[in-house]
Amino acid sequence: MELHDIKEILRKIIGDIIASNGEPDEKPIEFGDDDSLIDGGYIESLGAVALIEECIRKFDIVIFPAELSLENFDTVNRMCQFIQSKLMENQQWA
Amino acid sequence: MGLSQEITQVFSRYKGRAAVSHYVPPNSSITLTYGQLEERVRELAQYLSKQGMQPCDLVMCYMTKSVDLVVSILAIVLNGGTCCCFYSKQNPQYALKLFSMANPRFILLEENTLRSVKRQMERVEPTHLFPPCERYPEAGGTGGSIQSHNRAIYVFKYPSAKSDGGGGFQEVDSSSEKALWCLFTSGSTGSPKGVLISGEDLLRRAVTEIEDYELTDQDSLLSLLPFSFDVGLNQLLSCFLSGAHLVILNSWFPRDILTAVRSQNINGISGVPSIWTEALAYPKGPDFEQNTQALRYITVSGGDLSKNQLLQLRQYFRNVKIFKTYGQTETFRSSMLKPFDFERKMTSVGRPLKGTEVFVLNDKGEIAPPDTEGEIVHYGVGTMLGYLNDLEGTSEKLRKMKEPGSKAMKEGKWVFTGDRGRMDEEGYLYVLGREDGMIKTLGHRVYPKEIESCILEHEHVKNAAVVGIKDERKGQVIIAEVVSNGALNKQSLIVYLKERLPYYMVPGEINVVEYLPMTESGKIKYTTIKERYEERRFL
Repeated sequence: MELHDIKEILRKIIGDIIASNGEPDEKPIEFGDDDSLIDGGYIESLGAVALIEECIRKFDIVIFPAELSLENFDTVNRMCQFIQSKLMENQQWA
Repeated sequence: MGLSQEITQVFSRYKGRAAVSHYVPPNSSITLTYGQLEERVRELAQYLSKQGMQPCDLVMCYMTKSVDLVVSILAIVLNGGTCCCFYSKQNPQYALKLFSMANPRFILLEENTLRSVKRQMERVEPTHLFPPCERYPEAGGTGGSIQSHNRAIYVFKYPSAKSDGGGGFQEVDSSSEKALWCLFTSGSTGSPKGVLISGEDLLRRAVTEIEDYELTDQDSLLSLLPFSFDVGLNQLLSCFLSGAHLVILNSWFPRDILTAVRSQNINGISGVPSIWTEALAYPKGPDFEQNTQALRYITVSGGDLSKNQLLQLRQYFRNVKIFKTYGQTETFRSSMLKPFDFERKMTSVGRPLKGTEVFVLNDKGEIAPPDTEGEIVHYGVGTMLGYLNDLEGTSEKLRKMKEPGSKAMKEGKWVFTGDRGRMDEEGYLYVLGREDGMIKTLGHRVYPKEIESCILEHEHVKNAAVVGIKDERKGQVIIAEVVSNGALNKQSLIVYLKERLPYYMVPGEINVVEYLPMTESGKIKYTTIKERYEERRFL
C-alpha cells in the first residue's frame, strides 16, 4: 500500500472519530497532516482507543502496547509512517 | 488570606523555579518558571481588566490543557473573577450549550476552539457571527520566553442575552461566600450542571491535599486529568500552592506516562481507574523500578477498581503509595483510603477526610447501624455553594439538617449525595452505587458495581459496565457490556458468573464491545449505554 492510500484511509477514520463527538448535521472538522490530534485536543485521551482499534481492523496489523504513544499516533503523518512500517513487517513474514 | 493572595506569594517566593511544563513525548517540552508564569498571568489579567472585566465576572475557558490554559485560569483568579473551564474535545454544540447556561462575560479560546465555535455560531445564530475577537497579546507583544509555544489566547466578549449588561449569574443564596469556580459535572448522569465553589473552599481542599500527599516545593506532579474535573483542578491548585512543578501530559498511553515519569522525574500522579486499567495491561520493562524510582504516590480517584485490579496495581507499582479517594463534584472528596490501610481495607473508600463529616443515613433519616445500607451524606470541606442558576436543584441536593444523633441544628448544609453505601464498625466507608443506577430485578435490588466487580475478576476481561433496562416481566433486565483483553468467550463468562453470583444478578444479556463510552474524566457514560438498549427495545 502506498503512503498516499494509507493517508486517505487514516483521514477517513479520524474524521469519523472526531465527528462522532458532535451532532450528525455538523460540518466536518478540518485537520492538517501535521496537526497534533491527541495533544491538541481533537481526539480525547480515551478516543485514542477507538482510533487504534480502527487502525488494527482496517489495516490488518498487530499493534503492541509499547508502540502506543504520541510519537506514533499524534499526527496523520506520524501514523502513516508507523502503519507503513507495520505493513512492511507483515510483507516480510508473508 | 484568599486564593489569589496565596498564589501571588508563591509567585514571588519561587521566581526562578519551574512552575508548569507541557510535555509531549518523547522529547519536546516547554516550561515556564514561576517568574515567567507570573509575568504572563499579570499581562493577561491586565488585558482582561482593560477590556472591562470586573471582579465577580464569570469567565469561561474553552481550551485544551496547555500552559495557556493555566495562564488563563490564574489570570481570572487574580482578577477576582469566577473561572469555568471545560475540556476542548471538538464538540462546539456542547460548548454553546454551556455558554448559554453560564452566560459568561468573556470566553477565552485558542485557535482550534475559536475556529469551531465560529463555525457553529454562524450556523446557529447568524446575527452574532463572530463578534470582535481580539488577539492576545497584541501584535508584537509576545514575551520572549514563550515564543516556542506559538499559540494565542483569544478573548471573546460573549454577547449576553441579558439587557442589564449581563455577564452575571444568579446568586445561589445569601451566604457571604462568593463563587470563585464553576465546574460542570461530567454528564455521566444526564444534562450538565454547573457546580459553584467558593474560593475559601478551594483553598481548604488544596491545603488538605498538600497534607495528605505530603507535597513540597521539591515535587513534580504529572497532570493527566482535565482541569474541568475536580480532581485535576485540585492537583493544579495544590501543586502551585506548595511551589511544586506541574507537568502536563495529554496522553493516557502507558508508554507515554512511563516516559514522562522517567524523563521528568515525576513524584506523584493523580489518576482515574481507566488510566490504571490501561497501565496494568502494559508489560513492565526490566528497568521499570529504576525508571519509576522518583514516583512516590499515585491516586485512584473518580471511581474504583475491582479487588483483583487493586491487587495487581499493588504488585505493579511495588514501591509506590496508593491513595484511593471518593467523592462527587458537589462534595469534592468525602473519604480517602490511605496507603497504610490499603492491604487491609482495599475494597473500601477509606475514612472521612479531615474537615468533613460523612454519615450513612437509612430511609428514616437516622444513622444506619454499622454494615447496613443507606444514603451517604457529606458535610464540611468540599461542599459546593450550589448549582449555577438552579435554586430548585440546589435545595434538593443541599439541605439543612441536625447533627445526626444530636438535637442541635448544624450551621451550614449537608450534601445528599444520592450514593448508596455502608460504613463498617471501624468507620470505613463502602460505596455500593448510585441511587438512580440501582437495578430492580425479580424483586431484588442490585447495584451495577456488584456485578461489574465480579465480571472484572475474570481473567479475560478488561472493563465492564452493567445497566438495567425496563422489562415487563422482570421489572428490569440486566445487560452487561464487556471489553475483552484478548480471548474472551461469552459462554464461559456466563458460566463463570453463574458460579459466583446469585441467579438474579447474572446478566440476561452480555455483549462484548471494543470500548465503553466514557466521559473526558474517564467515567463510564451509563446513560449512553442505556439509551442504546432502550432505543433497540422500542424498535
